[in-house]
Order: sequence, then C-alpha cells, then structure tokens
Amino acid sequence: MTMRRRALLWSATALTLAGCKRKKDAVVPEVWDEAPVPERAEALGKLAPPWPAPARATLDSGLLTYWLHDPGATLAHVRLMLPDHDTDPFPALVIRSILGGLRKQVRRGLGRVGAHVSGSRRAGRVELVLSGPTEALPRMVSALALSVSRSPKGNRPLTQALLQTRARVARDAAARTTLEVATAATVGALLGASLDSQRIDPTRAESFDIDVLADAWSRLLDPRRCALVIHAAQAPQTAPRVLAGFERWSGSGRREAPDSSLGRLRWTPKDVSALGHVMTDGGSALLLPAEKAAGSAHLVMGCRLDTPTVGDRASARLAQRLLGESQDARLAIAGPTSVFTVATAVSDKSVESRAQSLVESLSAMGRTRSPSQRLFTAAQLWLGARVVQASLEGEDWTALWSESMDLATTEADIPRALAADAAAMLALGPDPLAAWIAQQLDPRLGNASWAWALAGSTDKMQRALSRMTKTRVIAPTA
Amino acid sequence: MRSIILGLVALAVPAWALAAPEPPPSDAQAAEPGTDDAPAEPGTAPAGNPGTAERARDEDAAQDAPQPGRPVLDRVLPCGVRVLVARDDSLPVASVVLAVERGSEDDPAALPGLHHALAYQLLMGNRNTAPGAIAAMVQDAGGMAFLATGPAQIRFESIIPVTLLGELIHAEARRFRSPTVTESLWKEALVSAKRDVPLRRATPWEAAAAAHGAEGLGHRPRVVEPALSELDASAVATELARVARYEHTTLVVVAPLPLEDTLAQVEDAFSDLPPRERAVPDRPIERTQASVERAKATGNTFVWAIPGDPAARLWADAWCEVLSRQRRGKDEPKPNRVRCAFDDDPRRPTLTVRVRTPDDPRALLEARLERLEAKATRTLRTPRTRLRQALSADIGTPLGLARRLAATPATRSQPNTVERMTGADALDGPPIPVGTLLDSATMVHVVAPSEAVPAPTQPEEGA
Repeated sequence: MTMRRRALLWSATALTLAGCKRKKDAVVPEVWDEAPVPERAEALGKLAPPWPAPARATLDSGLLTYWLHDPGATLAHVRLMLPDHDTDPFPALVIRSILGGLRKQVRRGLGRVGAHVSGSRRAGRVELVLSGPTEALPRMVSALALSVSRSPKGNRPLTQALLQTRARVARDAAARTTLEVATAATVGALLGASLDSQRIDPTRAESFDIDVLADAWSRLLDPRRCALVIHAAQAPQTAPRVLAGFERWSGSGRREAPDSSLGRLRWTPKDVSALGHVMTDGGSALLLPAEKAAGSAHLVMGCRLDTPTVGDRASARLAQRLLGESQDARLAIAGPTSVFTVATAVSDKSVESRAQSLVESLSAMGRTRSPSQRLFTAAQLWLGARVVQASLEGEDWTALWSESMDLATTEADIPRALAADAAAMLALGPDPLAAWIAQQLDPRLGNASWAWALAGSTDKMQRALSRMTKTRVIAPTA
Repeated sequence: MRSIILGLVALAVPAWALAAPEPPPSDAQAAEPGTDDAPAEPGTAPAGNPGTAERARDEDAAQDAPQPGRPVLDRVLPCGVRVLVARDDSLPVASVVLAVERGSEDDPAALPGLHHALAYQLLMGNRNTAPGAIAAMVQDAGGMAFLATGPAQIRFESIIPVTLLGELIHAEARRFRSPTVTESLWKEALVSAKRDVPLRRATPWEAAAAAHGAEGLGHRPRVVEPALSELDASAVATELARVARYEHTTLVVVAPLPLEDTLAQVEDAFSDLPPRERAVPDRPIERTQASVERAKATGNTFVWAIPGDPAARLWADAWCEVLSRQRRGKDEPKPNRVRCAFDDDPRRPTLTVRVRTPDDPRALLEARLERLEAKATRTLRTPRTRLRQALSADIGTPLGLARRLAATPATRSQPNTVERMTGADALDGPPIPVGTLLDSATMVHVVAPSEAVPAPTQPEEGA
C-alpha cells in the first residue's frame, strides 16, 4: 500500500515537473557590441602622414606655397592647384582644355628628366601634378613656372588641347552612361550650377570659341588665386632658388590675393532653397535629363549636407561606408559642404518600387543602430585604405595635403586634418551616428536639401513616376 | 565571399605577377599532417651557417656596425627562415613579403605547373585559418594582398596599414603549418591557377633551360596540365609538405618602426617553430648545350643566362638597351640590325639577342659587342639614369622595397644596406663589362633542326 502511494506520489511529482518544464529557453537577442580595443583605436587614429609643419610662404607674385620636407623621399612631387570657378564654376570643357594645354607645355619643358605629369579635379579646383626624381625638382618647377607664365594668345598647346578635347568628347559621346548623366543633373541641381560645369556636351563643344578659352586662362591662371604644394627631400631653405621662376609669374588678373589657400580655392555653392525632400508633397521635382546616354536607366538621389565640423564629416563618411555595403553610395567632401549621392538601376517594371525602396533604405538607416564593432571595422577599412593607396601611388604627400584641404575648415587645420578625421571616425558611437543619419539623410524628414534625376527613362517610367511626384525635363543646354 | 586583390608585381617583368581569386569559405578543413617534421628536400644545399653560432654572431656584429645608407637587418632564425627588415618612415604603412625559393623550375617532369597550383593551394588556409582568411584580414584593414609565381620563386605579398603589422607577421608565421587540403579545395586552386595568363618571354624556354643548365625551365610556368587534377588530397599534402617550408623561405618586412622592434616581432612570431637548417636550392649557371633546336628558327637568335643578383640584372638591362639602340657601323650593310630583349626575373633572368644580317650573324654580334665596350661610359649614361630612377622610385615605397629585397640572393651577405642589396650602389659604380655578361662561351644559339651542332658521339657499349 505504502509502495503504491509512493509510486503515485512520484508519478504526480514527475507529471507536475514535466508540465512545468519549459521546452526551450526564451530567446534573448544578443547584440555583440563591444567597444574596440583602445590601443588599436589610438594607433589607427594616427594613420596620417608623419609630416612636420610645412614651410608656408607667399611669393612676391602672390603665389601661396607649401613646402613639405621629407628627408627620406626618393621622388619629388609638385602640385599646382588652380580654382575651377570665378563667381560661378567654369564649363567642364574649359577646365579640361586648360589642364590639357598645361600638361602638354610642361611635358615639353621637362625634356627627358623622367618626370610624370598628370591632372586631376577636386571640389572647387583642378590640380596639375608633377612627379619625378628628387634631383629633377628644379627642372620640374621651372618647366611648370614657364608653362603657367605663357600668354593664352597664340598658345598652340592650348589650341591643340581644345581640339583634342572636342575630338575625344565627340568620340566618347555614345559611351556616356545613364549613371553619369543622372549624377551630373543631380549634382548640378544641388550646387545650383549649370550642367555645363558638370559634363561636356558634344554639340556645344563643337561651337566653342577659342577666345572664351583664352579669357578663362587669364582668369584662372593667376598666382593670386593659386597654391603650390611641394613634397621633396630638399630642405625648405632651397625654396627661394627653386621657386625663382614663379616670382616672374605675374598673371593678368591683378586682383586681391586671399591669404589662405581655402579662401583662394574653395567655392561656396549657391543657396538651393528651391530644393526640399523627395517623394513628399511639395518636394523636389524629379529631373529628367533629355540627353542620350548608354545603358539601362539609372535613378540618382542626392543631397547637400552641411558638414562644418570634423564630427559631421566623420558621420557623413561612416554613413556612406555603411550604406555602400548595399547601395552605390558616394560622398564628396569640401569642408563645410558635402554632396552625397546614391544610385540604382531601374527598369520599366521596377522604377516605382526601386525609388521607394531607396528612400526607405535611407530612412531605415536612421532608425537602425549599428554595433560599435561594425563602425570600427568600417572606419578601419577607410583609414587603412587611404594610407595604403597613398603608398601605392608613390607616397605623394601633396595628394594627402590636397585631401587634408578638403577636410579642413580653416588654414590652420590643414596639417592635422587627416589625423583629426581619423580620430573623429573612430570616436563616433552608434547612437550619435544613427541620430545624425536620421537628421541628415532621411529623404522625407531630414534637414538636407535633396535632388533626384532619372536618366535613360522611357515613357512608361515617366508615367509611373509622374503619379508619385512632379517631374521636370532638363534640356542639354540648361 | 571575398576576393583577394592581386596586382602586378612591379619588378622589371610586370607579367610575372598573377591574379589570384580567393576561394570561397569551406567547412571542410581537413587537418593534414604537419609539415614541421618532414625531411628537408634532397638536392638542396644548406645556406647560411646556422650550425656555427659563433660565426653567425660575428656576422650579426659586423652587420650592426654603422654603414652608409639605409640599413637592413638580415638574420636567419633558428627555424631556418631568413628575415630581412628595413625601415620606411614616409607613411604609416608596412609591407610584408614571404618569398619561397621554389618555382616552376622545380616542377616534376610529369607534373608541370605544380608549384603554380600549390601557391594557390597555400591560400586555402590551414589549421589556424579559414580559406582566404589572411587575405581577408589584410583587406578588412584597408590593405592589399598579392601573389606572384615564377620560375624559381613564389611570393605572398601584402601592403597594410602599420596597425596590422603584428597580426600579419603572426599569420605569415602560420601560413605553412598544416595547410588545409581537400579534393574540393585543390580543384578550386587549379581553377584559379588556370585563369592566369601563361608567362610570356622573348627567350624560348628551351633556350633558357640550356643557358641556365636547368632542365625544369624548359616548360612554360603557369601552364596547368590535366595531370594535376588527378592528384588526390594526400598527394597534394605531400607535395605541400615538400615545398612549403620555412627553411626555403625569406620573410621581408618593411615598416615605419625601429629595425630591432620589427625584428623582435618576427622572432616572437616564429619562436615556436622547431629548429631547422636553412636549405635553399643552389641555382648555378651551367650551360648544357651550345645550341638548341627550334622549329622555324632562323639561326639569328642568341641567348645568355644572367646571374640572378641585382647588380648583374641591372647592368644586363642597361647593356640590352644600349645594344638595341646601337647604330650600324660605317662598313656594315643596310639590312644589318641587332635587337635585344631582357627577360628579368629574380632568379633566372635571360637576355636574348636577335641579329638580322645577310652575313654571319655571330661575327656581326661580336663586332657590335666590341664596339659597345669601347664607348661604354657614354652609351650607358641614358639607361643608367633610367634604371636609377626606376630603382629609386621602387625603394622609396614599402612594397617596392620589399619586392626588391626579396629578389636579392637567397643567401646571407654582410654588411647590408638597401643601396647595396638592391643594386643601387652597383649602378653608381663601374659597369659590369658587357664581355663578362655576354660571354660567347656561355651563349646558346637557337637554330633550326637541320643546323644543330652535332652532339658528341657516345662510345658504344662493349666497344
């Protein structure tokens, strides 16, 4: 009897326990969000060139010069920075022709010293770069000084460069992609600049007058508006002798010379109060460039960001890196103003859904908190790639100086801008970044002004989009 | 899925480099027998003096004495790996090159392309790392990884932000330990190896083989033969154990840190490997034939083997340019033309001269070389400047310097500076005479089958 009672008791207990047993532990989502190792972050924050303070001088001609002394340098680099604007940006055809003409002249002047000449364009300026053996520095500088001092009248290399540019543009006109056209229209709208400053139209290039080019040469090649950066093994004490050629460069502008390089070269875009949000009532109209372009249709959205502080610029860069993992996102920083674009390919069927999903993904980013480790990895990749690329491209400190200029707010910030940028990127936490993204990059609610353009569109696409937003056709001559 | 970014090796022969896509991650990571206990490959000559500690200390002391130029630390660690450490302060960037002194020349006759494929197999991870993990680590930090294979060297090259240096050295010290080998990974390695464009050279491979006296040079590197796909996992593991050994290897590190600090990091990373004697193959130049037969040969092609040291390579390049630019002599007929091509390589460089003349090509070539020697100082000025500039641009960056140092002779020399080891000093000094580099006694003549110099007859057995 006792045994039966015990057995019953055990059975009851077992049944009770079994009934209480939870089949599974409650799933608690675990977020791996450890802060990076401090020493690692500190070391990464120093991923900037170990440059000493440059020797800064303004020549009698008004040219501003920076001498970056690197005793171990095996190559010398000379970078002349010219503005690409006066009150407004010059047409891209003018800039490309002038750069081409200068390159031709400098190459002729260099002879066989084994130096390389190249040109590049950054926000607000064009740059002519000479790289060659250290001992060839005086020859490189004098060839450059002679080339910029030439008069545009009867300047044969300049005429040749214009003809070459025309020919290349005519040849490549069919190869221009819809992505390029849509990006040019978007950026032009964001900066309040004409389409001509963003791209070269073949028909307008054909009718371009050489006298306009000569006038632009006189206005751009003015020592009072340019800056020269030199990276060499030679000590700055040799500068007066090396730079003697530039003392004779008078230019023909005869205008006031701003004291800082940023004042000379940085362009402040116009106010674009007409722009607003995207895909909202009263928002920015969808731009439809009428130019022909190759490839499937592309939709590009972009915004102009205010980036007055290092933190803002670091946030913009990290946001671009994070979005870049899934979208074609790009960012150009020029001190207090930056331009951010994101692009996607669309088809007749997908145009509405792609546009909405792009807007939604940007909005969602502001609501998503990225783990610290993800931010650290993104920052590490960006900062590491910057110095590695600089090394692979020949350790040209003038290129890094140029990037520093874009990251600086004042002249005094330039030498330490890269390090400050690195430190700010690494210090940025997930919550401040999410808040910044929500505030700036939300196309429907954020503070930034947005523009968007669709290139290569069909009638069907235009009909579908006109149900969502107002549209505006952009003529090639706009 | 990641992809290893590979680029061109910026040595004098750009096509020497390969592009290697990284394999996808795989769960199958069969641990293979460790390579540490495998015997040293027969036929390799011990280099350096690891057995004689005193002599090694003397060498180190001699090397540490101040020398004009940028110093390079050159050490052989107890595990047999040779370490070269240099400093470059211009940017916070470091470069690491792991150079294995093996290449297509060492391929077994039945398995041409083996070393090329094994180089890819070594990207497939090991007991410590997943397939492609080292390259992924480099890329995640913003760096770039490269792979280069050639007739006598395989190089794993990386350029990274200096913050990753410790981790990368550590990873390189483990690359060869128990490499992961499975059938599927081997197939992936072969697919990647096949994608590479076969190495092209001006010199016919059979002529290069005869000039260097290395039969293995007779086949084109980077050609993956079907026989390789028939190897099973254990055979691949055996071959890897033979090839991927630290005593065959040189590690070059260029970083913006004090030399001793960098060396200490390397020593620490390699300290747990068992002691081994350094064993790099001796690759002497011993011409085996005075002429080689080649279909469609016109009899106007002459080939020389050039020693694989930086000074000889630089001067051969310079002489080659001068020879190609040389004008006809006053008494020479108009069709006469001499053109030279230099196939650079860290270990097996060759120089090829093609002569076009209605007369005796050999006589014309000898006359031309004689004239060259007479005006050496003046004619060498232009190529000397070009080479000096190229060298100077290379050794000014960490990756360029690391590649140049990896191309220095595989045995230690002392005392060392960047200028001496890369040949920059030699370029400033007197040239190596053209008669020494292009000696008619070491020349190989490429001829049509009917023109071949008859081989000496062997006495018949029992005669």
